[in-house]
Amino acid sequence: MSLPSPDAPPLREATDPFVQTSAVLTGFSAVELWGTGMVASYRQVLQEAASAPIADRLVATGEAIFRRTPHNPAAVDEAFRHEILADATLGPVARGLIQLWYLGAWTQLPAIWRRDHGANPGDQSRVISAQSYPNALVYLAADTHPPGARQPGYGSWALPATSVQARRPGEEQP
Amino acid sequence: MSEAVYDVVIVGAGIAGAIVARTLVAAGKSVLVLEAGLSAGMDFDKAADTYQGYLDTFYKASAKVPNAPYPDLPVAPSPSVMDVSQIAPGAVDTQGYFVQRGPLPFPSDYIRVGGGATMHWLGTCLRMLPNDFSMASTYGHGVDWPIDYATLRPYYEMAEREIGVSGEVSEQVLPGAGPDYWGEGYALPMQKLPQSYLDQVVDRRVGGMEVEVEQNRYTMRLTSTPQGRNSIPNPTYRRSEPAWNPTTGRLEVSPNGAAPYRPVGAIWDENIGERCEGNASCVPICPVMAKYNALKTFKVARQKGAVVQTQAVAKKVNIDPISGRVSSITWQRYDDPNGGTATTQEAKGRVYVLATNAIENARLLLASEACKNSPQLGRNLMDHSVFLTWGLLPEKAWPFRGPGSTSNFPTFRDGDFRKDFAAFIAPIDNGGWAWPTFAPDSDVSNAVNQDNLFGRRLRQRMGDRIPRQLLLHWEVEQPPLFDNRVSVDPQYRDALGNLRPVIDFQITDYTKRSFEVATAITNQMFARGDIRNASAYSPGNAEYVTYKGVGYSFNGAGHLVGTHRMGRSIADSVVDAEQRTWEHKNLFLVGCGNMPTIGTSNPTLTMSALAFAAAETILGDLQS
Repeated sequence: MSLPSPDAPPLREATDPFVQTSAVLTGFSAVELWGTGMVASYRQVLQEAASAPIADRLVATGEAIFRRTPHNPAAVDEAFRHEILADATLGPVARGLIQLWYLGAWTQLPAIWRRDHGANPGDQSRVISAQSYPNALVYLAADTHPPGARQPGYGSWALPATSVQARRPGEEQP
Repeated sequence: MSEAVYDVVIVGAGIAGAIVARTLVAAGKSVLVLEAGLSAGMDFDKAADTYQGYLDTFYKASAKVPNAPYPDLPVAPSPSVMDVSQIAPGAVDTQGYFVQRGPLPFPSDYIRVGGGATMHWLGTCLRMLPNDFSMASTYGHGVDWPIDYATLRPYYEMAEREIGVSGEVSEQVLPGAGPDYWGEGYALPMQKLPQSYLDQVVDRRVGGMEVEVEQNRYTMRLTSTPQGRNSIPNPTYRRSEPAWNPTTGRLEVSPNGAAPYRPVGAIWDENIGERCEGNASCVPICPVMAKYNALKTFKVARQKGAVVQTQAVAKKVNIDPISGRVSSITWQRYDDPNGGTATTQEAKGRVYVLATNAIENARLLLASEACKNSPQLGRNLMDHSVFLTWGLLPEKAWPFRGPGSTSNFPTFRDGDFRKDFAAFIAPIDNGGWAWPTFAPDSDVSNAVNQDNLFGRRLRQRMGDRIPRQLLLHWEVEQPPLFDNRVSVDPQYRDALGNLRPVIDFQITDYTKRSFEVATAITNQMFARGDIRNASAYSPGNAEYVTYKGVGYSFNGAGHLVGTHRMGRSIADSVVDAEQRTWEHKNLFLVGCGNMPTIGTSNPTLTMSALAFAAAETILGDLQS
C-alpha cells in the first residue's frame, strides 16, 4: 500500500459540496457529519423532499460561496445568510436540512413553499430511519446521547458531562 | 388444551399475573396464562430479535410516547396518549380505544403486550405510607383499606426481591413512615442508583430549604428514589425468594439464607443489563433490560411449568348460575392481529385470576356481567395527576442522561395538610423539558425557524440551553370518586367484537388545590435557586383546569388504580381483603384495581406486594 502523493487531489469526502454546505449550516465539521453515516441518506432525503433542481441549487450556491471565500468562516456565514437562508426558495430548504441533521427527521416544508414549488411526495414529516435517530446531532450539541442509544455507562449520569467539543474561550465553566 | 383443567387460569401476562404464576408453579400448581398480545412478545427463544424490533420501532417513532415501541393490535387495542384531546361538553370522544365521556379525557395509557405495562414503566418502587391506608379515618378523604401497612410489609419485601429494587433504606426518611416502616436491618437487593448530576445541582441550590405553604412551613429535602433497575448488588442482602409452606399456609422467606443477590439481566442473555447503562430511555424501553419487566418473572415461571397461551383474548368470564363460581373463561385465538376470524375456546381451572389491569379487569367483568352485585365495580378509577413545572438553571446540569428520575422531594407525601389538599411526591425528571415542550426537538425547531440561528451559533445555543433544563413533577393524589368510572356500552366494540372501555373522568378541587401549592413551592424554590421559571399552561391543553381563577394543566401518570377495590363488604368493594371477589369464590382479581386509594407511590410495587398476598391465599384455597 502506498501513501497518496502530497500532490494528489483531495479526497472526494473532503470536498463534497453537500457535506460542506451541511457543515456550515449545522456548525458540525465535515468529519463529524461523515461520521454519522447519514450523508448518502440525507442527500437523497433532500432531493426527494425539495426536488432535485432545488436541492442541487442549494448545494451549488454553497459551493460557489466556498469558492469565493475559501478561508474566511465569518464571510462564509454571512454569504450563507444572504444567499441561502434569506432566499425565499432556498431558506426553508436549508432550515429543513439543518433540522434533518439535528433531529434525524425531516420536517415538512412550509405550506407556502409547497404551494409555490410543489408538494413533493418525499416532503413528509418523519424520522428517516432507525439509524437517523441515534445520529441526531442535537444530542452531541447538548453533550449527551440520544435516549435509547449510545449509552454512556453505569453511573455516568452522576458526573458532569464530558463535552465532545473543545471548550471555547469565555464559555461558561460547569 | 381445551380439555385440560388447570389449577389456576390467569388472564394477563403483566407483572401481577407473572408474580402469581411464578409463585403458584413454584408450589407445584398447574397454571395457564392467557395473554392477548402477540406470540412474538412471549417467544423467549427469539426475544433478542423481538426486542430489537421494539427498539427500532421506537427509534423510528416521531412521538416517542410510552406505547411507541410496541404493537397496537386492532384485535386487542391499547389506549394511546396520542388520542387524548379536549372533549366538548356532552360530546363523546371515540377516536382512540377508550370511549371518553369526559368532562376531562382520561390521560393515561397501557399496552397489551407480553410483559404488560412494565415494558414501558419508569421503574420507581416506592412503598405506600401507613396513612395512605387510612385516608378516611385519618384525614376525612377517600376510604380506608381493609388491611394496613404492617400487614402488607412482608409482601413488599417479596416484591422488592422479585423486581430487584435498588435503593438506600437509611436515606428514606419519609413523612409519617414511623419506626417500623422498614424492618430491623432491612436492606434492598441492590445499592441505590447514583443520583444524577442534575439532582446534585438542584440539591446544592435548593435542597433543605424551607417553603411556606398556606401559612405553614415545610422543609424540602431531596431523597434518593428506590427503583426497579439494576445497580451494584447489596452484599448484606441474602433474602430468599418466597416459598409456600403448606403446613403454616404461608409464603415464607429466609431472611439470611440465600446466596448473594445477582441482578437479573436481559431475558435473552443474563450477562446483558446487569447494571443500568444510562440509556435514558426507561420510558418507553430499556434497550438492555436493566430495568425490570415482567418477562423476567415469566421466564422463571415458564421454566417451572407455567403454560402461556398468547394471541388469546379473554372474552367472557362464565359463571355457574347455581354455585356462583366461575366455570370457565371463554377466549378468542386470533391469527391475524388486524382482525378476521378468531376461534373461540374455553379455559378451565379450579381458580381464576384476572390480572389484566384496572381498566381491562373492570371491562371484562362488566362485559361478562360478573360481580354485578358489587356497586363499586368499574368505579373509583384513579391516577396521579402529574402537574409539571420547569425552569432554566443558571448552570449546566446536563439532563437527558441516566434513569428517568433518581431523586424526589417526599415532603408532601403525608401530613395534616391532607385534610385540605391532596398529597404529592415531587420527583426531579432527568429528561429535561421533553415532556412539557417536546425538548430537544422544539429547541432545535425554535432556534432554527424563529431565532434564525444556524451553524456554530446554533450548536452553541443548543449546548448552552438544553443542558440547563430542569423539570419537576408534582404527582398529585386523586381521591376515589364514584363517578370516575369504567363502563361498557354495546355500541362501542373492537375488531373482535369485544366491548371497549367507556370512561368518565374528572378531578376535584382537592387535587387542583395542590397544583396551586406546587406552583407556590416552585416559585420559592426557583427564586432561591436562581432558576428562570419557564412553566406555562395553555387553555388548549387536553387536561386544562382552573382553580380559583388560575389555569393549570396536568398529565396522566399511567397509574391505573381502583376500579375493583378491596374492602369490607360487597357494598363498598368488589374484592375482600384477600382479593377474592365477594360474589365468585374462585375468582380473584389482582393488580392496581384492588387498591382503595393511590397515595403518592407509583403503584406497581404495592400491586406486586398484593399479588404475592393473593398467590398465598390462592395456594391456601387450593389446599383446602
